[in-house]
Amino acid sequence: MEIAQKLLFILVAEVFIENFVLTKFLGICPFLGVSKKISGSLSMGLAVMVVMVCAAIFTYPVYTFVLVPLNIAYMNTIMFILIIALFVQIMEMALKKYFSPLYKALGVYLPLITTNCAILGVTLLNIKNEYNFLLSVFNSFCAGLGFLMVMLIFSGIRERVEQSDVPESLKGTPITLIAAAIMSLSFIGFGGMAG
Amino acid sequence: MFTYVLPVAFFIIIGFAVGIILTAANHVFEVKTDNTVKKLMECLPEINCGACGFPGCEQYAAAIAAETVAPNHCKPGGEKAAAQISEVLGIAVSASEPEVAFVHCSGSGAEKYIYAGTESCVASEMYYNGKELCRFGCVGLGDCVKVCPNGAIHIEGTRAVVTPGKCIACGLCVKACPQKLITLQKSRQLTNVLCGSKDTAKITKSACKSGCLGCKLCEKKCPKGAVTIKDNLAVINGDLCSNCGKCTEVCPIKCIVVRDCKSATKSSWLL
Repeated sequence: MEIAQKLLFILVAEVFIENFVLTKFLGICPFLGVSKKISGSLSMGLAVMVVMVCAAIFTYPVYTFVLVPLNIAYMNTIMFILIIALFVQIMEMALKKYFSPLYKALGVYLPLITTNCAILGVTLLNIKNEYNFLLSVFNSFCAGLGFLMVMLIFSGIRERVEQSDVPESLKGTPITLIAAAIMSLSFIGFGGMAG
Repeated sequence: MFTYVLPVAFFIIIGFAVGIILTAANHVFEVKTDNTVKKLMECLPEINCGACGFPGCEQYAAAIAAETVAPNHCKPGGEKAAAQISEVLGIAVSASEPEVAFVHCSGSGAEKYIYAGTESCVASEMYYNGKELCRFGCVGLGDCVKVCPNGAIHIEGTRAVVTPGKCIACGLCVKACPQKLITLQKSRQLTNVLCGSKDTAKITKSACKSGCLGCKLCEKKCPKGAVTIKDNLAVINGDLCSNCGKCTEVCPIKCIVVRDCKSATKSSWLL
């Protein structure tokens, strides 16, 4: 029962209350860069979700069974970057070879994700929150889910903005940033819900 | 001492290991990319206009390499691209005849109401068939201007005008126009009908002072039989037209025009 409660808490917290993009300000680059079309943002969100889960799966054992025993846990940032870059590269190659359609849909976003701070952030936060393996993976999944949701909502907003009459001086990036700010404010409204 | 050496040594070893793993992975998962596709890509203009019917130049190049399509569909590339492609493939390719977009409206129709909404022809068309009194006429809010990759279209008064020298015949404006007023035609065809109204003469005349009435004078006068009246509108067959200008002389409302090829100095292929 307790574990179910904890999982539910993580799910709500990561998706709404402490959303990676809107509250923690991680992964802003793809959030602004790839959110022009709903289809593109869907692919990007899914790619981020997959990579986040894989990152948790790979980094947790390396941290617990290599870095901690060797007493070099403080090197986790560099180590995690190395691991994430390694498996994303290999994943990209494998996708290209065996799942060509999937590569065409997600592949272009994978190199972008390699050094994304949201991925590194989720692995570091897993360690900081002292989650066990299962919770780490679940937490990463929820963080990815939150990212995907925000990407979809925001791309929807941007598609509507594209259709409307924006003042000349606000066209392009300014109106995008304003929309993102308002969206972020609305998500801060979830702030007092749990905790 | 050990506290300093250990992390350094550890990361040197890890770094090497990662390098070796990646190199190995690169060999294991190697995908042979077709070299001809790469070469064909260099022949194409890479502006991804979509005139060939593929989403972008890369897909078209792949299709040429797979020999599923003819290599002369690239309109912006024209003869130059076709010649280079034929060199790469080692076969003879003739370029498709150069084409140019034309807007079939003189924009001299009256307005039904003053439109103050979004600057978009599609949006304007949602309100009572657009702000133009003529339901076929050019809205003049520039949906075609926005999609043109080469800046060949501009708005003159209330209508869009294509600059032939800049037009790459990609056909994006043809798709963007909600009124279906823009057509692609062979660029040697200089004679054009400046009207797209399929209404009867009475309705057309009430809406616009220079709309085609479908009087058939041009059809009778044309020595080549290139002009036909279809749905109350003169249509010129570019394959038969010799640009003699007889139809323009006979047209009572002067809605058939012959493009002045001397003014189009920017492009030599305009005859």
